[in-house]
Amino acid sequence: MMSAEESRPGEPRDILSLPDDAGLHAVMAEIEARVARRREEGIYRDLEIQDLERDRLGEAKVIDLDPVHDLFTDPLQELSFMLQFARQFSDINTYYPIGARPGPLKPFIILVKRIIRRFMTPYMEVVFAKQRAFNEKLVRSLEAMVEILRVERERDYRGGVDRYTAWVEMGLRRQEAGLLEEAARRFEPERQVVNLYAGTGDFLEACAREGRKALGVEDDSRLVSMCQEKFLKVQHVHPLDFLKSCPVESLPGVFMQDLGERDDTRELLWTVNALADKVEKDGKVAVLNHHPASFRGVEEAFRDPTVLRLVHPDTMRALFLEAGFREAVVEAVDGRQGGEDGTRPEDAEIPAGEGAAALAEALRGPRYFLLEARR
Amino acid sequence: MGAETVAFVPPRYGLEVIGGAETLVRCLAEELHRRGRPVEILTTCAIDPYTWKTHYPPGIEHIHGVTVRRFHNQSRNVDRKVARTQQEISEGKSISRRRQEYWIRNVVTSEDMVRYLRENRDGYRAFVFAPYLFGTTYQGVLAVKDKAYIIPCLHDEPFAHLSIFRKMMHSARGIIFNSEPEMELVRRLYGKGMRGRVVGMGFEPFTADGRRFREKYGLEGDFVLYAGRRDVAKNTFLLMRYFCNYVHNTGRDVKLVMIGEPRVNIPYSFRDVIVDVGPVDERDKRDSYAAATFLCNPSVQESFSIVIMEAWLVGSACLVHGDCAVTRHHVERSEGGLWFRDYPTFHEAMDVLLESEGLRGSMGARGREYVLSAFCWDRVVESFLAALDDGGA
Repeated sequence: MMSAEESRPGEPRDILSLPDDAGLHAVMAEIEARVARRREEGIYRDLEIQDLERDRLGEAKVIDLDPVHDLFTDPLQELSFMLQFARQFSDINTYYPIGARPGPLKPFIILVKRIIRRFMTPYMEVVFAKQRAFNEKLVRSLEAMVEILRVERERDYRGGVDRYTAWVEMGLRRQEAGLLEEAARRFEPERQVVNLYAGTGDFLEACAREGRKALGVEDDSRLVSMCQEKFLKVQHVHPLDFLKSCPVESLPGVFMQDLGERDDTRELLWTVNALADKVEKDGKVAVLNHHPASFRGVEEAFRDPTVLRLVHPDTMRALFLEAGFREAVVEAVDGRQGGEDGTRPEDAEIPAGEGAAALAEALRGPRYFLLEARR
Repeated sequence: MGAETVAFVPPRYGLEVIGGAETLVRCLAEELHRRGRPVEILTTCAIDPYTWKTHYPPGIEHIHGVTVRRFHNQSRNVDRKVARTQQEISEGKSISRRRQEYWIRNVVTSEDMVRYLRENRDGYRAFVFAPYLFGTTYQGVLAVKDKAYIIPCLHDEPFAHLSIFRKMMHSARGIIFNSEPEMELVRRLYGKGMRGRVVGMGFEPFTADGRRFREKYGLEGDFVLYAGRRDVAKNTFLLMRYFCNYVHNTGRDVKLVMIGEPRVNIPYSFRDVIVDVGPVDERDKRDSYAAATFLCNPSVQESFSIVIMEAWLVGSACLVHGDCAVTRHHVERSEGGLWFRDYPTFHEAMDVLLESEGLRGSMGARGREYVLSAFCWDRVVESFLAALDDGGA
């Protein structure tokens, strides 16, 4: 006979063994028969979670929770729901529907109640006015608190700061129109360019300035709204789903920025391979990324908290060629115009000495690289 | 909008919206759109099913090419009367028709939408409302009775027994069911004469990378997956209790991984055994099916169960609750998993599924075959259009 205590890791266990192709009803019949046989052996101990906790931790350490309610209620949702009630009841007044049970005295009772309410109202209103003001403030504070909790949780779910929060709310996005216009000029004017992860729509604006037709693809609804406010053409869909839904060899041109610098590295491989399928023959893909060999490029990239890593231009080029692109050319670009006095910090003279040339090269090196790949 | 346009009317719609009925409507609408059928979505501006606060701006937007018209919804009036009525309905008490009407008016309604339906009824071929338990469906169906179809997504719960829903079901031109057991339930509740057709939802095979999910969330060894909303109605608590008892009784090294919302409080001594991943994106969800040893759906309130279909598509076996007519029906027809009725059967089914990799594999393969044959989009779209053509007869 086997008890719950006997079946511990490392000890032999009495397991039902069935052939791989056993039919469902045969398996269920075996299970039922086995349950009938072993039920008396005390194997199936089914305790409430609280009792299990007591068994494992001892009485003193168990936090006394309501077994169903406390395990399942999300405190934030509970708070939101209670806030609905609070809103309803915060606006207190003397009005209360008056009624009486059916009977011969009903009209009289209602009349008396109305008279009492009429006389009491001025006195009650004085008391209620203060309470109303207090309730209103309290509900407003609660609403603010729930909103803060919701935003914090959303950030937590996303595993950190998202692009909208970093770029728009925290103001950490630095975008140089010159670079994007240069990238836009790489595409032929009459062919449409698809900008995956369009973000705040800076590249789409650059395309408009350069007379290129561009369509943005973005999954963050807040960023999509920003693009729409600028009257830019943008589709609200996850860029990878968009790529997946495109017919084979249907995209004439694709532009992406910071490819592989966020999210899972596997997405980089998936995207490059998908592009090799979806971009039409002789179509072009341009990628603008931070240059990992550039001192300023690295510094600028990691100022953005959403960037996780940098991709070397040689790696990027190899990925595109491996995926089936006919050619892939990498060019270092910068597009920096200088400060108000026309000088740039990296133009400052570097004192001569050992390693000074390498330091100067790293400091003055272009911050970005632009990869152009052709099918 | 044209006279051939089919309008779907869910209470909320959007890529961020999580929910079985909402996903079903979105997938069906997008599939019809892909096949060149004119479709539109008429919905509210809300996203949160608890507060129904305005989230999206009213107006027109396009999601995956489908036109979505959003209308202002009335904010939820949670007064004493509504709360008390809801409580009494949940307890199965008899409620007057007037109170039922008052209650349903406070479960998300949109006067703008009802006005639009009345004014533009001739511009559409049909209005498909889903699911049944919302003011948008109730008031919408009554506004355009002769063009109204309902995808009720119904399960046996006290709300389904209200007389206002009997009236609504009988007012609609046709009912579109997700499964045979759901059709039987509707006929049992509202009369044998209910017109309807089983349509369900279509699926396409997809690839999933289980190793990626395991690496991302640091998971090793066997794990049982629970995917979906965590709720008493979904039996999440029962699964947690059974699972904790199973681990305690057997000492087995197996985890329960939960994806979805809302967060649950994990019992302290089982914090290493139950992993709450929280809400995940579509890719993680698909990868989780491939990564899991098998999926468990303990809910007894299902009208279709998208998660077991998706798990079968990647070849994972499923463990369901034997008291749920719908999931058990799928398991019996497909032979793609097992069911449990109580703790002892759960314990033995867990043992069988964890121990026998070959049996698990063959169950997953049979499940996949079932989904691909019974729920391919060609078949679903054909049934859906036939349901509209014959009014569900």
